[in-house]
Amino acid sequence: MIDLRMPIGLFFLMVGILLLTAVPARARIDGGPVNLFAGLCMLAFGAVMLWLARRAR
Amino acid sequence: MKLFAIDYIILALYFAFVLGIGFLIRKRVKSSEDFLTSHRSVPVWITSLAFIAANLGAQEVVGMCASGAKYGLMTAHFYWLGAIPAMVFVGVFMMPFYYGSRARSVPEYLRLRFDEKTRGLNAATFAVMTVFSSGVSMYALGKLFQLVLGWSFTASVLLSAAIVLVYTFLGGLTSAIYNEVLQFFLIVLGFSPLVVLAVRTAGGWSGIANRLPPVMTHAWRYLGNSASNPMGVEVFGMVAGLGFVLSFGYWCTDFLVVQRAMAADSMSAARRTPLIAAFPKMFMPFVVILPGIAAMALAQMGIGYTLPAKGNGPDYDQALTTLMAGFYPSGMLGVGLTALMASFMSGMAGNVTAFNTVFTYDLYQSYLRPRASDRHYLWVARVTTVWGILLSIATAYLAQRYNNIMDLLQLVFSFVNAPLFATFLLGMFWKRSTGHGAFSGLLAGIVAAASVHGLTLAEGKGAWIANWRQFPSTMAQNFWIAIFAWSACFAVTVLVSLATAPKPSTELGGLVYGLTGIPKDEGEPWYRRPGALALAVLAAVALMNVIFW
Repeated sequence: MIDLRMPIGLFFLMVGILLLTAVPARARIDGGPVNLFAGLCMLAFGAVMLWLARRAR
Repeated sequence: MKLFAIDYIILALYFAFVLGIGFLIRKRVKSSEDFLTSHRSVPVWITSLAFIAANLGAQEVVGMCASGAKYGLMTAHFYWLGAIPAMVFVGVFMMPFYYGSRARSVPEYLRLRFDEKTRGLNAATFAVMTVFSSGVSMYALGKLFQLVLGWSFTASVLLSAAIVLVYTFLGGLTSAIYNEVLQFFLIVLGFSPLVVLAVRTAGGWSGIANRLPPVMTHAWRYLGNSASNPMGVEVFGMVAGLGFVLSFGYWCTDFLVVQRAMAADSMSAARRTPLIAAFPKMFMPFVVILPGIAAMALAQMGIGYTLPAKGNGPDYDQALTTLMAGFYPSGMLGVGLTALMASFMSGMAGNVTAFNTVFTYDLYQSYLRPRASDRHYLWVARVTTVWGILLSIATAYLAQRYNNIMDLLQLVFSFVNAPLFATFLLGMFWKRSTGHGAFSGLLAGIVAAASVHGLTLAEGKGAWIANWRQFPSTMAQNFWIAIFAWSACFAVTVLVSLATAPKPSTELGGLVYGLTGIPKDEGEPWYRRPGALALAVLAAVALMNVIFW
């Protein structure tokens, strides 16, 4: 059985990196660096998932 | 709403991962049990998240946000009152019978406890309703993406259906469950930034409370009278209709959710599945309802955010997508739309996997070909997955052509589901209840539900027999239909059971309270004991209700 934390971690790590490549984009209303903060959060979440999967092996 | 390359890349990445999970799991599917029940081998943290993700479909995410905008914080009752207590009940009291009886499905439990005709009635209605629910979900997805992105209805429906088909065809229930967990995290992480941005811009919770009428920011305070809240429901209708009949009818008997717990790798894990799931579930109103409430406050601030009009009022159904368009730049917009797509797909896959299990075991194996090889049943399960999705697609097109088919299906679904909890309650906790009693009780419940709908009117719906009473909202009408259906089923089941011969006690071991050994969990740490977990869940949800009274 695959350790589900592995694909989940990889997915969010990649989404986080993608968001960090789009930091200059700004929303119509808020105008803040949403992609930066969300990208960092997803990167951290993905890394934690991968770490948990690696620790379980 | 305009998408850029990065948004499409995120969507494509998600598709690649869900398909990849399907391909990885395919290798371990060797029997019909692997495909349809995961061979009871899934870890508890996965079954717990899948338990709520299977219910986190399109109607949940988009609909709850819309209800938040329309009814305010009272919508949270669908979680704190209409889900958590029932999830605790199924985990503590009912799962020992579902899991301990070794039944492969909820209808199969009914056969073991009662008889073949009760199982047949439940299996047939459930199979039809499930495939139609999946179709309605597809229809909603097609319409939403057509409205928001200008995508073709056909392309949206076929793309999502094809992806769900591939990963459920390859890996069956395990693949659906694993993907539901990915979808759950995507939904939570995809919408959480929107909640933070919308609430912060509206001035926090106090800013929202200052801009909206008080009824929008309290869960219980305005429930004393049906005229004093926008739902048109009073406390008895809310507690008995939603909090008891509809909620317990869904969370305790609907195979779509119960199947996730039954896939757990032990009895203890199966019992803890709904209890662990209850913790994230009680916080879901902050992800799906709060943005809707914030949207109503934002619409009054003159900051360039408005809800489109529909008829005489705002189009609440567009609360979530208009917030995304306002607060998400390209990149997060891709994540948000992918989360939306994930919610549709998790709901669809949940329906399809429940459908193929019930069709293969409870209809095909029982009535069409009882003694075939397991290889044959695995083949039937896979073929059923294909035609289940094809039927769902056909339903989506039918719903597009006849718009009121959605209302009709939801109505029939409530007629069938509401009385079912009475059947299970009596079946599990009263050994005197009989198969004839259960079957006639179910039929009586359905007739009672149809009669109440035919004799009452709400928002122009119902009263097709006579107009005896008018309800302020269809929601209030639905709650009362459920109360009558449950009561009729309960009363008729008791009366007919007393007049017919029960099964001997020797045949009821593992199926009825008092004749089943309830697993002992002394010596386990508190977080592994269902009783202690249940108390923690109930204390936390009580606290939520007090805070947002």
